[in-house]
Amino acid sequence: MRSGMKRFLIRFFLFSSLTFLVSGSCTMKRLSLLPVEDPGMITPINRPFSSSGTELLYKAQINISGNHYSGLFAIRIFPDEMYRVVFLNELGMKFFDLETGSNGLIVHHCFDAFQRTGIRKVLEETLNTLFLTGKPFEKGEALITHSGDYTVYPVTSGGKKFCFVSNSSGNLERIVKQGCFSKKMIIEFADYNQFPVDIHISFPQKKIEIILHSLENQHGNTLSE
Amino acid sequence: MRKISFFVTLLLLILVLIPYGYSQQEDFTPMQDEDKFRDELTGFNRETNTLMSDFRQVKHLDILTENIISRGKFYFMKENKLRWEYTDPFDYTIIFNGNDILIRDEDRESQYNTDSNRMFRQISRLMSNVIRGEILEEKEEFSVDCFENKREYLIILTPTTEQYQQFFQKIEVHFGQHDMLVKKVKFIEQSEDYTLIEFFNEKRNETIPDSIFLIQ
Repeated sequence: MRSGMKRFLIRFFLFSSLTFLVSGSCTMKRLSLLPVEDPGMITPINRPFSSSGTELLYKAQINISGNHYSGLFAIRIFPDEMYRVVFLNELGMKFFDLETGSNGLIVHHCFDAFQRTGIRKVLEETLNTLFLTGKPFEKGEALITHSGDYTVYPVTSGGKKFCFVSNSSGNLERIVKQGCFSKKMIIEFADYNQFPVDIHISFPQKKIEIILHSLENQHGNTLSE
Repeated sequence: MRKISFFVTLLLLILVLIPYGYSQQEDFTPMQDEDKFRDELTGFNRETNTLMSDFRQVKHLDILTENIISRGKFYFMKENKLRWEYTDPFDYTIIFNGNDILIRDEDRESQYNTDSNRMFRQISRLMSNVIRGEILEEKEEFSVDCFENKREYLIILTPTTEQYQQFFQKIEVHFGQHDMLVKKVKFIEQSEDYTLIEFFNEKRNETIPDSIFLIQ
């Protein structure tokens, strides 16, 4: 009984210390940001994917717990904020064909390896955050960095907490989904050419990573005939 | 009145041309002598030690208004060495050497073994059998229908197993009648999306350095 109590106290002490450290580090981060005095001065966020009728093609790499899949990521933006995404390998074999929008996720095709519930959930979450679909994303009060180059918004969607970071042009550079103690999902956008050229999506706790690189922008010409 | 007669003429023209266009596409008839085709193919395979060719791949996705085009080269060496190399618009190479597979995706290299990866085993076997024209060996997983026209043989493979059915509704393979070389392959999915691979500059039994199939 006594040893049980001892173990409990040790655990309680460790947990309290950890909580103190984590909350301390969050406060430190918050301190480096300033409130926006005149909201009219900041550039509103541009949605990374918004033009209806647009078709985009990315070279894609997906790493899931040590398994590597590569191929092409075709995105079609439909009216009413509906998005269709097809991931296929270089030989043309489809891994998945998913549709997301206000009606949730529709699976048109899904290869065995992506069928597992956990993976499907990750894909749904990725697409909803990437295209800002699903439950509404509600922005809190904006904060700016000391240099004024970046604006940071606390965002909530369906009870989940996010942090959006946009640059001075209003382009989203980073979306972070916050967990209790660590980041659950990080999406980084880089090098915009109307649409993001490079996108890096990671789920640190699940060892899942999606890397996209726009093919059209790299070669300066269209792939299609 | 003139307008009406113009539209009537146009309609008649369309009605006349549609069946013509249709028959141009569908001018294949069931093969008269399948045994002859099989013998020719067996002879061709027996005498083929190497094959190399350029290829153009067209990926049609119903969601996209335009097709995705990629190009590259393939090399085959008997018995089971195959190098499939995309050069445009991305660099991607897949080498099958016996049971070993090497994938070079721009800067990244990954090695696999067909014994431990069912999907790669199937792709490897299917690709090499299609290119070598040994598709008739696929009878365990596909039903085979043979057609011909004046220039080509057309073999349609319809998958009978779930493993292949999740990828393909059917595979169409076109052989040149004069040289028995595969001219094009069309992988048609259940959704009617397809991948069409057309072969150009085909070279048979030319020396290919063994090193291009090397997996280290």
